Amino acid sequence: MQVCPVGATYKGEDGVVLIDHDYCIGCRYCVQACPYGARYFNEEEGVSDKCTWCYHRITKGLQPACVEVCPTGARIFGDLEVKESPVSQFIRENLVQVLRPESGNAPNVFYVGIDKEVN
Amino acid sequence: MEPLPNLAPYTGWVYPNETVFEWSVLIAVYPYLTGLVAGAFTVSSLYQVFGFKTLKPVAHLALLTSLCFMIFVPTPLLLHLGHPERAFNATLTPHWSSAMAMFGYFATAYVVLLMIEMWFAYRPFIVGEAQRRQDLLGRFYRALTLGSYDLSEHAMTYDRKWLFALAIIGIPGAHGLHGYVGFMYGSLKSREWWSSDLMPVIFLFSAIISGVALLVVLYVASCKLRKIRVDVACVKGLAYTIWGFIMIAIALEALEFANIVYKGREGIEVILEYVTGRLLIPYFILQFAIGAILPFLILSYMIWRGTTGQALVVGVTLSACLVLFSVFMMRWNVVIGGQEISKTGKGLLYYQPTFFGKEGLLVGVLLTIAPIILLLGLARLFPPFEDGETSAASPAGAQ
Repeated sequence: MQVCPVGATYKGEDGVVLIDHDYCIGCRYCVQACPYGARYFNEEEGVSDKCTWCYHRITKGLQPACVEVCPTGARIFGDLEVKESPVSQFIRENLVQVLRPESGNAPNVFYVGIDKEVN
Repeated sequence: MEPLPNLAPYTGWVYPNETVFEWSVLIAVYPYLTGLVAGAFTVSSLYQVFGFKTLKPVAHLALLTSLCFMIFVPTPLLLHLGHPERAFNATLTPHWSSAMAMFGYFATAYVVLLMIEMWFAYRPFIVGEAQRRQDLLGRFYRALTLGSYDLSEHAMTYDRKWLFALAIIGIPGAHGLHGYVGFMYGSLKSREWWSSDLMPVIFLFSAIISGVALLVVLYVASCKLRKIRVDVACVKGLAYTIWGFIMIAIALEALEFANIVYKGREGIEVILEYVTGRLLIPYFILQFAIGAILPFLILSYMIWRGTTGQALVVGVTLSACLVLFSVFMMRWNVVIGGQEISKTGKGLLYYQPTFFGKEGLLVGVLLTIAPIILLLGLARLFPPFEDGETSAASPAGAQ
């Protein structure tokens, strides 16, 4: 987000990092800067893109599509600010890790059981 | 989605999105062009500000070259952007935390400064042509005079002061224009190959040697074309400049590489596998050995032995060509090389440039040659050499 020359990518008040497709100029600096390789270039729209946690669904109270369809319930999504949400409870009860903790990015995606072989 | 052929082959473990190389050869050409701009301007400033009188023959050529390359500088960027029509947003409504947003400001400021400096430098010539010519070009020159036909000693002193001031201000301007690119790479956490405090300085010093080398080649070539004797003192001055700066450039790049290896951060095994494998030739042989160490040795030898005359010109021109090649390899090795090392630190990818296409090798080559063609044209309108009556020091005399 820091590197975007036009400020097209931003973190909303609810904590979701989004990209404004009408403002992005498609320079792909954010794609280079993302330490997790999570961003990519959307050829059809000519803008950079990323997972939006299905913003169009979560703003309507639904779960992201991938969480909805996971057959084993391995994905848990929710509001970290709310103590009783499934994700807050899960984080309290399990040993969670993040990717690239040394980077100081404090991401909001947590994993359980990843071995350090995988960055 | 991407058609399959665009996905880069890889070894080891890579993130899926990395299999598309987002920054192509054009993004390596861009810092090459701004580097030539900065380097050419440095030569002009060495004459104007630091009083390297031996560089007088190339002083105006340097300004002209800087302008010609500057005109083409935005082109690779515009070709690369997904939405080039929105490109100005980065300058009109910039995101101040982004190094890339600085481009608009540095570029605009520099172009304006360069044009004003050229106006002052060429004023005697412009005035002369405006008064002499009656054709369409005459009107062009008369418009360019901006109404000022004063070539008295007082006016020329005033001009000289402006030139001096502009040349001084232009140094941080030109170096900022190129230095921010280095900062863009060096400030990223995501790629170990890029992340370095030294990156802006490395870019800058290699830019300076590339610009000086370009002027050597252009000057010698122009002398051959005009069938006049090469000013050996000038070539020697340029050679000393390359020699001095290349030592620093080599030292910086060696330091940066040594730091990466010595720190041995996560992913170092893959980096070492990469530089001893696929990058061995482009990095150690082409960029370092042939492109940097060899010209340095050639120049050192000629300086040590006091070579002069034709031998000096040949030796320096050869060294200059090698330097130009080496600096391009440096841009390639940084931009493309950085993307070939996976962000996982556990995989390598393989860049497959296209030849045709909007961001292919052909466009890259054309963008590098086009400024020289423009220079040939612009040099007719603004002859850069003494025999073409362009010196700011002398009033417009007989043609």
